[in-house]
Amino acid sequence: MKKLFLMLFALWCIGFLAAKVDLNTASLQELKQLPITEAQARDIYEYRIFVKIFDSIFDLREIPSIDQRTLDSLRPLVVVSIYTETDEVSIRRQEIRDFIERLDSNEGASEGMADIWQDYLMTPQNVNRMHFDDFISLPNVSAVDAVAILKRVARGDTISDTRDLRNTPGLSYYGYTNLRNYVYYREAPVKNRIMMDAQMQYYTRLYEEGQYDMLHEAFVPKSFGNNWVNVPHDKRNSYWGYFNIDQVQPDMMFKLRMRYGNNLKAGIMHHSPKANSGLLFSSDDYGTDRDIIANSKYYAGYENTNLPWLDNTALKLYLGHYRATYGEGLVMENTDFYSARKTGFGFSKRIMGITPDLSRTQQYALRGAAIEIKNPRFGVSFFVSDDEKDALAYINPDGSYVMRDDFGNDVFTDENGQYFIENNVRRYTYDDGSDVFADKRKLFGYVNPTLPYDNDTMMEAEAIFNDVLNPTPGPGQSYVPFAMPYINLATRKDAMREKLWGTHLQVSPFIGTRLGFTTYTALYDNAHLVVPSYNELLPLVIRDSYYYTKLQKTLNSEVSNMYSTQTDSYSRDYRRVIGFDAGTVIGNTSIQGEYAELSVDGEDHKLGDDPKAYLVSAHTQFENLYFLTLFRNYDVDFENPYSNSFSEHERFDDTILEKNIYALTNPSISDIFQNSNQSQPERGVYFETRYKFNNYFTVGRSYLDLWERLSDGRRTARFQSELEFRPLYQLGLRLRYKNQVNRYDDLADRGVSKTNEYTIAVRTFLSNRNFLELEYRYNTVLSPPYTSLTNPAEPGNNSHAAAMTLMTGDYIGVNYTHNFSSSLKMQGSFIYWYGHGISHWDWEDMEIDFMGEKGAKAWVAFSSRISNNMYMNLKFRNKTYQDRELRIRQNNDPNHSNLSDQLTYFDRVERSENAIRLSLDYRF
Amino acid sequence: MLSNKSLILIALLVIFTSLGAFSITDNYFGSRYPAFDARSMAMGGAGVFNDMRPAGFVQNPANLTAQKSFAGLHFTSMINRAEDTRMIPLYNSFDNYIDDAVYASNINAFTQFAGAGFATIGLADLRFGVGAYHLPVLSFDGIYTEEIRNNRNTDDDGYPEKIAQNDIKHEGSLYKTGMALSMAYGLSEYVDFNLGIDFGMMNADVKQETTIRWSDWSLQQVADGVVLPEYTRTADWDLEGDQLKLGAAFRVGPRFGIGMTYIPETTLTRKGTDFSYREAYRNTPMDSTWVSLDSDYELPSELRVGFTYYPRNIMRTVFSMDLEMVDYSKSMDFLDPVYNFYAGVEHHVVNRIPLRLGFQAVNGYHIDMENTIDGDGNDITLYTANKILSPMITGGSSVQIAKNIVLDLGFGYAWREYEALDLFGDAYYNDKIYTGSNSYTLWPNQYINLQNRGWENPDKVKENFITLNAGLSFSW
Repeated sequence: MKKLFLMLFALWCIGFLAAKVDLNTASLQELKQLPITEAQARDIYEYRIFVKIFDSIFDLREIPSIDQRTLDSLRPLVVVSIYTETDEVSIRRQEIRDFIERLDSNEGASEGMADIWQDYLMTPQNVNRMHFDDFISLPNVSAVDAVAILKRVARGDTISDTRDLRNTPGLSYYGYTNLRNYVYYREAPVKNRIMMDAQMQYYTRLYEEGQYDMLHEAFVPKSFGNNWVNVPHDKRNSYWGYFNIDQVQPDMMFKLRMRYGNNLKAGIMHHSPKANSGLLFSSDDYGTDRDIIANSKYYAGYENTNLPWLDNTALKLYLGHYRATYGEGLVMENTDFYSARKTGFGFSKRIMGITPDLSRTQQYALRGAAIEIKNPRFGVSFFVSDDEKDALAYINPDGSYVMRDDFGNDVFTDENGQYFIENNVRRYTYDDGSDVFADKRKLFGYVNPTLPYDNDTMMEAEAIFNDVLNPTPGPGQSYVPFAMPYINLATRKDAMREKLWGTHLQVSPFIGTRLGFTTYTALYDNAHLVVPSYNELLPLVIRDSYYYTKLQKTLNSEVSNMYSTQTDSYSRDYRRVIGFDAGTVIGNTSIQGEYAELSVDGEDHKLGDDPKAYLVSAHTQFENLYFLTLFRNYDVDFENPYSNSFSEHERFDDTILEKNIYALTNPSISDIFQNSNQSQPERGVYFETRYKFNNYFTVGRSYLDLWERLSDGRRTARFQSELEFRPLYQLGLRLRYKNQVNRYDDLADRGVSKTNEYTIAVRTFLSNRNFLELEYRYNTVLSPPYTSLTNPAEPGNNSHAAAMTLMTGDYIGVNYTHNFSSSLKMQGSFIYWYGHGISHWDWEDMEIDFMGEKGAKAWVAFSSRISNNMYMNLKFRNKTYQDRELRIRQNNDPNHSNLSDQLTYFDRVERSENAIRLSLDYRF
Repeated sequence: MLSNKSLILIALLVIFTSLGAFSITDNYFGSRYPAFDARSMAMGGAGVFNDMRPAGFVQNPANLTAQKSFAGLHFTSMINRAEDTRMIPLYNSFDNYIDDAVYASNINAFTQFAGAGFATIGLADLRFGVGAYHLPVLSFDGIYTEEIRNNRNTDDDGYPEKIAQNDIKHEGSLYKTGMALSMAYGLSEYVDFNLGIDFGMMNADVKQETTIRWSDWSLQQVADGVVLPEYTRTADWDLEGDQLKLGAAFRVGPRFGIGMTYIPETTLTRKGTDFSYREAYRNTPMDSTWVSLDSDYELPSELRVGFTYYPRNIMRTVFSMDLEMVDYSKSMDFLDPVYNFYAGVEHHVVNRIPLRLGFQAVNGYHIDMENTIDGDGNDITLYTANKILSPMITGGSSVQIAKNIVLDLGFGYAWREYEALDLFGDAYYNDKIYTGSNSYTLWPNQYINLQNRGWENPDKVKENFITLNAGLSFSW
């Protein structure tokens, strides 16, 4: 009987509970049955759907329409079941969301590396099966860290969890903290399934200062030579005016990536740069049809880190666009983007081997097929690419290509056929009587054009410019006085068909020790690359001989030493680079290096007889300290467009292509520098360290670089150090000092310049991860009196005598970050600067900005996490400034005769630039 | 609940702010208003699916029955501050174009109002709604003043003399008064299909005046009997016609709503007069032209699709995004269709107070007209059409005034930059033409070459617009 009562009581309890409404599962209809109004029921339902799952019944009080009395009346009628997220993707996404945001904000010049790292955050790799290259490709994981783990695994030990990983002997704390989010131990947190990532960015991007100046440069200065040709001021004589680039124009990017776990991957990206019409237009503003697929990047690939038929062997196979990176980037690291001091350590990483590529790299993109197989002892990859590359081309007055025969003659065409000129006579046949024939274009070299227009559009513009340079004689005139040479060099889209193949072989006799061989050959089917020597180069790139002497002091050997496929000593149709890389780990030090050689005059299979580049570095790490020492030496004539190694400056920096755009036959030749991706020829030693004394004092990343620019022998010492003092958790004080001394041996010529930069920043770390920083920077530059920098401010001319000039500039700024909640963050900054010839820089939320002479800048960015898998970032920036040219004009004589035909003198000449960026990212 | 004083302040805010646009540039197609609904405007103007505010049906008639409320009223007012800055190209000592120098800057404010109301009724799974509204669609407003001065006395910190003043004054908006009908079929609480139709009567009364007036100083400088001719152009015209709009809104669950609208090409009639007058001077007779305007005025067709997403977020969040195609090619065959983009997010930061952020990128056309001669020497009128992008960043919030009353506030900052021909050619101020002298009377610098600038040296125009929108919604 007792049992029966108990049973009945249990059934009553079950029935009672069953009758209760579960707030986390009830339908709206069920909620409406509760003794509350229909609106309250709806509010409860919508709170669950649109805000959060109930953790407890007391969450009801978060709903404005539910007061305490209503809650009390509901308590006996409702239950809250424990809800746990079961979708592993959602769980993983929650775990890594802060890291994803950080990677997004570090994406910078869009090399596409963040995509790869984000994939590994989402679907980590098994730490017990990873290879050496897999480890060192991750941010802030060093070769020493990689060897520590690999040795442990090789002993048969299995790392079972995060704590176990931390106990790995030799693994640094930094290596551990950065690695742990990219790996799993026993079971993958996310099983293989289809994942997609759709991204969009709309950006009213502005041209950088150098590009801005280049596009403003006129084709026909009125004061051309000493002839004072009377050409009216005409804005359309520049690319800027001709293409009406004043208009606000967007830069748009759409990207879709798909993958099945880490095995099957595919993606497509379309980038429509500023001054183009965008994805949705089938033709551009100039009526030219556009092929969206041909202008997109895409890939499909297969990856398997553990092939079933080959133990511990990984395979990658990609079709479409891919990146290839080996060693120190001397032979092969294909990207359009240059970054200074790319050491390969810390956050300045390379992702080794073959990776899919949806970055904005367009010119040096590889399109074709690539395969990579590797196991702990041996690795091989092979890649082929077939793509048309943009080039700086020699052109005829009508815009057509100058053609070249195999004997090194420029070949022209008229109604009688092809001919070349010998002793000022047209020759239609060679000496042996055979017909003159040429089917290859004569090109100067690769160039990544700033303007995105196609060849027809550019040719139309050049025809207009040519007409001004060399106008048609008027009625009754047989010639035009002071006619100037036609445009002889111009950028051409898809001018050069490049078929490229390459390979990388690697053996690893011991853990952490590897020897590699890399080579690639680029075949040029339809073109000859021809760069003349210095004396012939001057009339080719400089419009007026008046400037020859002026330019002799600038280092132009970098330009004249660009690679040619046709010279006096050889004629070929390819460029070949070979190289060796090696590395090993001894204790807590890793040593690595690469040697590369570009085949020119020497024998292909002999080392040391051709232009070369090499780099050796050693990295020693302790728990809270590291040292990096790096030596590099790149020959001036080692011109490899697929290299992207460590250097202080990009190639062609400080040459006529940067400093003397006004003297060029075509300002757009400067694009070779503006969008350069290669390192400048340098020889030097670089030291870098970071040391955390304790929780109060940290010497931040500090370096000393001593190097010589090989093209002109300029020697430079650059030192930068940073000390952070944090007396309280909430307060930090940062001091940074930078010093750079440039020196020429010929002191009578360009002399010495010394730059000092002092920065002090006070940071307060507020609650809720809010952050406020005040920063002040002061610079001095002591240098010879360059007119362009140090023109006296007094009215009059610039004939003041000066020995050395000391310029000073400063900068004050405030940065603030406010987290409204975990879903909404606001960042903002206000800066005022006065440069006086000194260039300031500022790191914005995800891009660096170089600032000119004098001005103010404010920006605000909102990062909104719309849902667990959708992110929006909205940024607005205003920058108002004056540049150097305008300031000099203001401070000089307004009644100068050059200004006489202007109506009046304008005080308010400044630039005010607005930029807006919207990014959307949806992962599903 | 707010105090009476607060309510009065809010009422004043609603009354004294208004919808506005605002440029002397858009004198053919007018300026489009960023958004009718202040909430939608704060979210970048996105909201082709909008079930949150009574004003939603003005954007898409199908939103009428998608509303969560059964009836509603909405009043909107907007104030727009328009800044127009004109610059001339500036050349450096190498004679390269380097930048632009400001020569005229005008700041004006314009206001507008709009209102709408609707009611719905449910019959089983069906719901029917009717709504009416009155709102401005396009603005032809614009005020511009430009002073012509010489550069005398500037070296001594004195004001240069004023030679003449040029003014442009445009007034008028295209208004639409209409009715919308909608029908919904609900499959469940959060799944329904809505179809709507909107018929609106449109009319505008536009007055445009352009004048050149010489200053007293100039008139005193020239000899007796010399006429400095004044110029006046007055255009007064009306627009009238009807517009149809079709809309659909699908709520496909608690998380998603998809909307779509289509406005076919609309033909309005344009009637009025265009009168221009220039005084006689020296040996030149007066020029007086009177033109009767009676033509069709084509408004482009518009297709807009978008969605609204309601995720689960610890701060209640709504995200909306629209894409719109405006087909100008039907209105003028030398124009292309343009694509506009709108996106915005709403986060309820604390205590149901929302923070709204948004972005829109709207393209329009600026058409410049130039009288020139063709290759055969014949007089022709050359039209130049520039597609101009106006990006806008928006933000806003709202206040719950009473149980059924919400005040939405929206803010927008937009800007655009483009080239345009000089509005008043410099040759007109060459007093040698009027005096017959070999030297200037009004200009101290004899080097000055007063000639009209063409496309070789066009104006660079920078405009920015700050828009404040306040909307009061009543819903039941």
